[in-house]
Amino acid sequence: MPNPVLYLQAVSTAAAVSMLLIVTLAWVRRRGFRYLSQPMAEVLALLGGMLAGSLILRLPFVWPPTTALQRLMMLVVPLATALELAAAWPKVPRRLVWTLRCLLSIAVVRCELHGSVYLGGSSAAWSWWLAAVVLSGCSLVGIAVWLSLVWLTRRSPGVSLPLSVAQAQLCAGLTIMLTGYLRGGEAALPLFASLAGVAVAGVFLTPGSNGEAVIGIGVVNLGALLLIGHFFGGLSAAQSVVIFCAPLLCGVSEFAWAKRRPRWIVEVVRTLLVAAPLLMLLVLEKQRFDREMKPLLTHVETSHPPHALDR
Amino acid sequence: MRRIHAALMVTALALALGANSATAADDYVFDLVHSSVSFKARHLDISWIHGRFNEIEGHFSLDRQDPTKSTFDFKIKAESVDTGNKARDEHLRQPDYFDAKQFPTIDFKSTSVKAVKGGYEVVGDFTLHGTKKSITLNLQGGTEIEFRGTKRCGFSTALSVKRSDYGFDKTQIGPIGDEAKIDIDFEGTRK
Repeated sequence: MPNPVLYLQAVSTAAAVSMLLIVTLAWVRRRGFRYLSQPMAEVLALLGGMLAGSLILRLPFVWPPTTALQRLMMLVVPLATALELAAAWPKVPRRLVWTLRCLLSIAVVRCELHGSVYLGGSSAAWSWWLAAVVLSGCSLVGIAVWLSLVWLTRRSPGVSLPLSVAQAQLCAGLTIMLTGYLRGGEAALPLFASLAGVAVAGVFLTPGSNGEAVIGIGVVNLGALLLIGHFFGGLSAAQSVVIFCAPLLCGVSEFAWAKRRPRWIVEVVRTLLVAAPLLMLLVLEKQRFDREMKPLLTHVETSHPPHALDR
Repeated sequence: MRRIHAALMVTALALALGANSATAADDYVFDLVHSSVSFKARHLDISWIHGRFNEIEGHFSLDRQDPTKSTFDFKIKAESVDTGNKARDEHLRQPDYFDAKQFPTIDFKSTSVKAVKGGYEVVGDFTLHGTKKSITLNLQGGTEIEFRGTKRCGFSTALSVKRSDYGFDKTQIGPIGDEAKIDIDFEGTRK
């Protein structure tokens, strides 16, 4: 059963821990610890927040991982974090970083579907060519969105970019919950909160940061979560695509009219533009939930005749 | 000549015995029309929810002379769960419960069989939700009858499993109880 109080605890803890870590690591950097770059501090803060929130929600940290959610927690999150930590190292060539990001994108899709009915050897639901098309298609979409968001962080950085990924993450979590996969939806909450925490703390503490590293982790986790929601839960392909691509609406800042507007207006417009389709999708899913799922949970009125003694 | 005759006799006897031992075990395939796997689980600890799995396949081999050589195995399709409510069935197929896309079948494969009064005691590996455990089934039945040219043999058994023992998420046990009672009835046919 959903536990809103627990969710609130997990979300507030994840956000608080990530903000606290950003502040602490900024202080460490000011003390002259040169090896800790700003993107590294953001990645560590994000990881700390996610861990804290996940522990409160008792998300499955199980080895060896056998379910898609366990693979997300035990393989995808650590791999994406390690990659972005390495990418934050200034001496690592950009070409190598992007090669590794492409490989990760492919590996995440394969890893999430591992051992499932889709790729189950001779008895698989998919033929080898269909599997190849789906795996490469999902990987390509993942890389395209990741590349576009990183390009945007360089063209017009701002808090709205990591926030847009956080918004998508929250929408993914709630929608997956509404489709009936409670645990999968819960997994989105710590990342949403820590991503929002890092983004908001970044506004006040590190205005120069473009948030590329945290956006990378956010995109990988969002993609993996949507894969789980679609292939193992009840999330439709259309819902997954809308949620995954919604942050690209931040690209509105590239239009000529946005160039002439004050920065804060562009940030607000970006945030609202991303929120609109996500909100619409959530409302539609809630209506479907009320129609089909709610009757399973709610009290059904009965027509007992009143007991004779009660009259 | 006499020696050749004796050798032929011995060979014929050996072949006959061999053939006998090869046919000692009778192989049956599950008759899906007359086999069922149903279950019930507590709801809010006040009543029971009943359901069944509509797709099951399996076979068994009965060696009446040496029951220890008998084997039983079956597969239940997790996707075929049916509790009489479409929305609930969809929910049960999701990863919070059966995770049917990750663990498509519930399997049983016998490892040892012994004859007991009224049937067989079968020890085997039971795999549910990707977790394998050794369990003992007390199969009652085993009488063979011939009906319209087909030999039939049937068994019934019941078992009780705790979902938390089979890797189901303990935080999702919720209003539906941890323990499920499963009734398995199957008929096998052979020509």
